[in-house]
Amino acid sequence: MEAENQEAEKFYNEGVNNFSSKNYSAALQFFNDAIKAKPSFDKALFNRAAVKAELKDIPGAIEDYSAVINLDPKSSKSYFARGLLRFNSKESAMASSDFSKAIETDSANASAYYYRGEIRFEESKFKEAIEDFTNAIKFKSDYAYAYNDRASAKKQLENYKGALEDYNQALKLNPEMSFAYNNRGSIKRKLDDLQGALLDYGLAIKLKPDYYVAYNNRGSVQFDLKRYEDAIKDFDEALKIKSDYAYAYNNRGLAKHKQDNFKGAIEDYNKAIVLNDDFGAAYLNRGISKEMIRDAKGACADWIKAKTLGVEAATNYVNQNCMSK
Amino acid sequence: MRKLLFVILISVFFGQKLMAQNVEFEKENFEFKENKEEFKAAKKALEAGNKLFEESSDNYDQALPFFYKAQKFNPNNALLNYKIGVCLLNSIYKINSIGYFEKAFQLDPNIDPRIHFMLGQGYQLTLAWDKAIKEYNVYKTSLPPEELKSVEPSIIKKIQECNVGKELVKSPVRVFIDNLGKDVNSRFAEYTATISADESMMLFTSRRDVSTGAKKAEREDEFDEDIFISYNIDDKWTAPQNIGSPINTEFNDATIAISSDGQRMFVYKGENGGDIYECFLKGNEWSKPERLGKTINTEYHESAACYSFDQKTLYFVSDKPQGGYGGRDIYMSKLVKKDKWGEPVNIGSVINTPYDEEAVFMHPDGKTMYFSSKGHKTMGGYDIFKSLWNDSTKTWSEPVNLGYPINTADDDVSFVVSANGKHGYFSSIKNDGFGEKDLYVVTFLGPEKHGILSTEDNLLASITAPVAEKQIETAVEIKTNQLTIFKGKVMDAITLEPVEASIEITDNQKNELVSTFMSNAKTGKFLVALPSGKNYGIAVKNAKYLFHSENFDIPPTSVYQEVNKDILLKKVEVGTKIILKNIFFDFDKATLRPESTAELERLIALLTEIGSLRIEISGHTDSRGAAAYNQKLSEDRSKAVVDYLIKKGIAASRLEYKGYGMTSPISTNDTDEGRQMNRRTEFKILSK
Repeated sequence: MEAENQEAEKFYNEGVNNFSSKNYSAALQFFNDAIKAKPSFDKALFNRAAVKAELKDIPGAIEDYSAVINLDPKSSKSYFARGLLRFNSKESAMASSDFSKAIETDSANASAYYYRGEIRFEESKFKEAIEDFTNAIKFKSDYAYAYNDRASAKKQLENYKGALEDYNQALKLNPEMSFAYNNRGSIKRKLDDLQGALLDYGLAIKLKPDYYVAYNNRGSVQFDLKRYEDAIKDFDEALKIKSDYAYAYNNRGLAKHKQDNFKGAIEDYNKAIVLNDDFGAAYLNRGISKEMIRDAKGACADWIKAKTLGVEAATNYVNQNCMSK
Repeated sequence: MRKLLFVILISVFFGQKLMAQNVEFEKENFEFKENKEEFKAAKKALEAGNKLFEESSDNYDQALPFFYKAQKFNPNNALLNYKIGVCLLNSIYKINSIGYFEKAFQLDPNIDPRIHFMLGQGYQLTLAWDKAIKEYNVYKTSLPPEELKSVEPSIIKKIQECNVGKELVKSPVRVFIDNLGKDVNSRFAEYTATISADESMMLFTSRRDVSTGAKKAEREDEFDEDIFISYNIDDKWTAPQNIGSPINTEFNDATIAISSDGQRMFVYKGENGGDIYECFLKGNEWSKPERLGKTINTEYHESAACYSFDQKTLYFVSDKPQGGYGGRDIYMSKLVKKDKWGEPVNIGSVINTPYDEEAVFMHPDGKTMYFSSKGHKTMGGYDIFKSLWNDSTKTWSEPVNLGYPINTADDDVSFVVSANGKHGYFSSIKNDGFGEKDLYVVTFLGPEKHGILSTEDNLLASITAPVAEKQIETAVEIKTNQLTIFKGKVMDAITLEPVEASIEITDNQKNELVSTFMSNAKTGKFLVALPSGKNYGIAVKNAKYLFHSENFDIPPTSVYQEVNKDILLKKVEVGTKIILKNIFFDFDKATLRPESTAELERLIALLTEIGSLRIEISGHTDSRGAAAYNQKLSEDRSKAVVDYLIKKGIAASRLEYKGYGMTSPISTNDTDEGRQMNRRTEFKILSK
């Protein structure tokens, strides 16, 4: 018995070594052997799950975590790890229940709170998400991601000042997060601090030069500031990075429209619509430009389409312009 | 000679500014051998021009050619430049006066203090507000106190206009303004366009060389006024035709207004100080214009007029002094009996000012009045204003200036608006015109339409896909015209020949006749405007046919709609069925609602008129609900109608009732619209 135990642990240790040096196939073999030698070897099962996950064998990994949970129903870290795999596989309901179990078995599991918060956010349960992010921060006070995400949840609830405070804190804890600068820029735009927004998007772009989302956002603020030339430059940059970025085409169209370049605007909206034929805003906008080039019929066709795609503003345009000859 | 040389020398030394110096039409200023004859001719022209100029301001246009001739010889005479300026400022080419006034002032700053007032007007017309205000102020300070007293109010008014203009130009209204094109406009004047509500026809006044009185014209560029007609075919106006006799005569005949359905119109004749006449379209012939009675036409100047949507009220303009607020005012008169307009009433000081009001136009929506005024907040001359009638408070709203560029600092008059509110028609002299006044169409774009920006953020740190920003632009309420235009043709159901029929419009709630229109005898065409906010019953009647009923229940907030529907009238034949669209029951009950009264009375009238008629009243439901229930409901409802008729004295032996439940649908039961058509009350002729 003694010798057998030793053997399983030897395999296990080899497995750990190979895992550390990223020899996942070898590590898998060693953990297999360890488990063969000792089927109730929970640590080996837990690590084999991690190896399988690295080798993209997600069902296998989940199976191993489940085996650990069978052996130890109080293994908070197994619930969490299984939950994370399911979270990444978009199995939100099962992931959420795993995170809840992880919290049940370890009430200070900050990561479990955090990820459950993400799921709740995605389910648009922003209040519950904020509770989870708050708990994550409670148990991990330097949790920059949790601050960012709580800020985002507050934003969705239109608590923009609260959101700003949380983004500030997130960036204080980790000033390298380009996305947090971007997000803070958007909050500042909401709060009408357009200059502040411009600066934040600029910082996001500095940290991540291919950050097309930030370019698109900065262009939108330039648009708000009626600096249409600068706006177009930013949308151009976004499109250089991501040539199929329908939003940037749509927005560039708006800026061109403001410069009375209606035909140029229509060309951009056309591209946006080719990329995304359900793009309600682009139809609405194209209709507005078509009206200006005296294509009343085309404008109506676009507004009617925008209306069917759920763009609220289109209804009035249809009522006003398209109900008679 | 020496003097001229001196002038030339000065110009060399001091540059252009001082180049011009006043050069009198004196022999010694021009004594050259080679231009002796020219001098004589120029001087003669000047004298001829001066004579006309002094005689009357009506002669200004005739004086101009003489002045131009003199000016060509001597461009540097201050007084001549001034006079040309005065003539031009009183012509249709007002802004051309500026250059002459500027030059006159340059040549002789003391020429006449009034030059500042006139130059101010020129600048105002070009929207150079500050320059205009400056001139008006200079004029003010240049006058001695006793003289200032009488003109100060008009100077203050002009300065006010400039300040209004400044504001209006700052935020122009969003419109397209288009010349109606060379097919409609000519090198002669076109003006006072008037349209049918659906913009299918337009009548306007023109002074072109094909006018009825053209032969006797004294001038080559302006003939007597005649009325012309153009039709809108596939969004294009056809070449205008002279509407001919008996409307156009060898005298001036001008458009005033046409009714919404294009079946009657007001024309203007200069007789008796200016009077309003009316004529009717019978088939395709216009009747001879008849002068409106003495309640409307006075010895004073009656000019503009228009019909209310129901043709029961007449709005018109008169400058009669009694009962007015000053200058021309807008009055209204109600139809008291057929063809008789009641005593006119001034429409009050919200609209009428001490200045002139002109060109009244009532929109077919029954509540929006457009008119021109030299008072209110005008930016110069007449501006076009809009005011809304509030039927509950019985008041007009504060008039609103239609804004720049519809209004200019010049006179803006005679503005008519299509029923759908999208287009306005007016006349103007613009650079892109074909000569004199031309007709233009305004396309209203409404408030600026804001596009929607699309943005997104990486809201969640652990999820890479960005989350789209909620689209923030929500709907802005845009007010549309709130009326329904119901138009079509009345025809015989079998032969499809056009039928002249009366179209009775009833307010079902009040059980009150709103108005009666006629379809055109030749074409069967009709058009009625139904302002939103009423449940309208419409009965189309001709003695040879059974009446046809339509219902339009239009809530107050309903937006503009155009319903195009042909009405097929059926003869009194056994088996003929008519749907009674204005019979209403309480929900799920067989109780007749009071709104049904007018329709039931029509039915009683028919049964009284044709005493031998036996009919079946039938009830029908849609397919929702249990068959047995529907069967009973439809039977009870048809019985309710029969009971009503019996109560009103129709012999029970002439009436049968039957419930068909859902068994005889006339439309699909899959849509709200179809189901609504299926729920109905009909009558059928059993014997006649």
